Amino acid sequence: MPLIRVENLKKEFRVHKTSGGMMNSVKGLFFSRGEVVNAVDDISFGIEKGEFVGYLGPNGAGKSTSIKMLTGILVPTSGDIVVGGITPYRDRKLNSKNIGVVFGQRTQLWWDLPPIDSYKLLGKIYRRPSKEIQLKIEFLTELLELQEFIKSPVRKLSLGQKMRCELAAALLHSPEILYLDEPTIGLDVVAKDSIRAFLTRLNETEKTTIILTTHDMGDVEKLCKRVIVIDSGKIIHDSSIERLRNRFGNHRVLEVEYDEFSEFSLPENVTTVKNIGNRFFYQFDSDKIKAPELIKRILEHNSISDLSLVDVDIEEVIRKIYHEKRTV
Amino acid sequence: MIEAKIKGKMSYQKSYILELLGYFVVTGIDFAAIYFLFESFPAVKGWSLWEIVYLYGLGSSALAIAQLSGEVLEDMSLIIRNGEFDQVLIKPISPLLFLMPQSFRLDRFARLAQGVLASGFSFYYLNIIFSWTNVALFLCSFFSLIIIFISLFLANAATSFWTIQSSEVFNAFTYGGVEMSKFPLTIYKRWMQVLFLFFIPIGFVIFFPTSILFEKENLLNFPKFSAFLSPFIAIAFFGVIWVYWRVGIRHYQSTGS
Repeated sequence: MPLIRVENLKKEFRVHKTSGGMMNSVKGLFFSRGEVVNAVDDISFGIEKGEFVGYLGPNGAGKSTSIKMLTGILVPTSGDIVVGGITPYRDRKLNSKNIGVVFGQRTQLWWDLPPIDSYKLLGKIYRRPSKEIQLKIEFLTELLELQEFIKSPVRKLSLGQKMRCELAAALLHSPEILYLDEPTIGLDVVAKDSIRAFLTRLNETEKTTIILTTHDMGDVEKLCKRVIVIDSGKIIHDSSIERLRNRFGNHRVLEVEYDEFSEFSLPENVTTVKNIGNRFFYQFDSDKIKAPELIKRILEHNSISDLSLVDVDIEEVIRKIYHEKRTV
Repeated sequence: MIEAKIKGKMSYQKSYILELLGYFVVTGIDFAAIYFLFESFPAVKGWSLWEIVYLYGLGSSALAIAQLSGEVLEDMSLIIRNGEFDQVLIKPISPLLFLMPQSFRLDRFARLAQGVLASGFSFYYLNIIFSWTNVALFLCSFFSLIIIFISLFLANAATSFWTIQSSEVFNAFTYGGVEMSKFPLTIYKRWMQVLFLFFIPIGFVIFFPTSILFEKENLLNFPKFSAFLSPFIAIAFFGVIWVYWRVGIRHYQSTGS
């Protein structure tokens, strides 16, 4: 029995089209014709305890709507959600004790208060003994390195500091599941790294189940073990990260700079992606031809001055998935 | 929660002191306005000056308490739009319990003091004795009025679940009701009486208890015990609005990420 089970989940929104003008607005008040939009359109999946799942999709694909249904904020139009044996929208309060949520562009801290005061207040809201909360604050302060600014008002913190404080706030009550909605948005490389390191640790040592939405493929590559891709409200891909990488074959790209290029016949399964002067980019499927073999072949015909080998990055794969879906 | 709110405010020390100063200036002007109003005020429909001061005091102290406990609900459309309501819904607490303490504002005590003073003086000048019945009559209208004002805030908040933009309809009733309550119900037109007796029962919970308190003859043909029905009317009104609020939460659509 998975920790999170979603079956045939749907969420429809009624979008009102007001064609401007006073009379039409007034009419809109009384006759809500509107158009039905399927923000989430019949999705099903299961997530086991301890998984680290990337929930991806272009803007407006239905990511946030799904997360909001999982967390109990929105009531689904139809379908089932069971999270740890609870139906979130029906037992919202019970469910909320079991989950931590960070919305990247929102804050759950009190703007004018230092984080430490917000934490104490949250401890009371979650009805945890103050001793337990005290210990937890100390633990998270240490791990997330909050010492320097835990006593300054939130409004004075940098974006990276704020995000670390948000994570601590979401984890105070030791939730089993952590939902993250774009947690690294707008952060610099150092801040991203420290947050990623923390999340990896959390997932590995505490076995916290983490569901992450992001547009940052670095997050996906470094963190997620499984990827669910959603577009126009439907799941279009759901697999482990390795299988995602391999979905279009085990593609790699060889970049070669020739001293002087003379035409030769490429082996099978190798294609020239592009060339700029004497620099050529060859794409090949490493299941079918090994890199040394290809390099050897090239050296037989030409002398080269430089060479490098790159994996197809995940972003490219995701872009292909989106594109494939659109053209079908 | 209230403690946190004050602490948060305190963190802007200077602006906090200025704000407090502002409250007192505004209150002073308010008092002056009442004074000049009374200077040229004759009795209305058999209600004397001090009886009307009492109505004023009752209305503003009840409104002050209602604002202290639920005024934040007026900002519901903003709370929804900036995503704060999402944050509320992921906590193991009832949304009202979480939001309402944020209504706490020190300047509301100025209005409360003003109201209490006004009713205190009117009791003194009207020689109202402190009997059980009189205290009960006062409390009947006072608490019923608070409940109705809070219900109106709640109705306004619930409406934002559908419209996203704030609806001014219920505001009109809240603040219109406060203005209306400064004078006895008998001076108004029939349709206004019906509206404020049965639909937005502000008139009901003020007029009957107060009329009995001041021994007025004209009860608009209602029986005397109507005065003690006030709390029930207020609670019923709150009940209806509560259902409206619950339906609203289920209908809540949140905002884009």
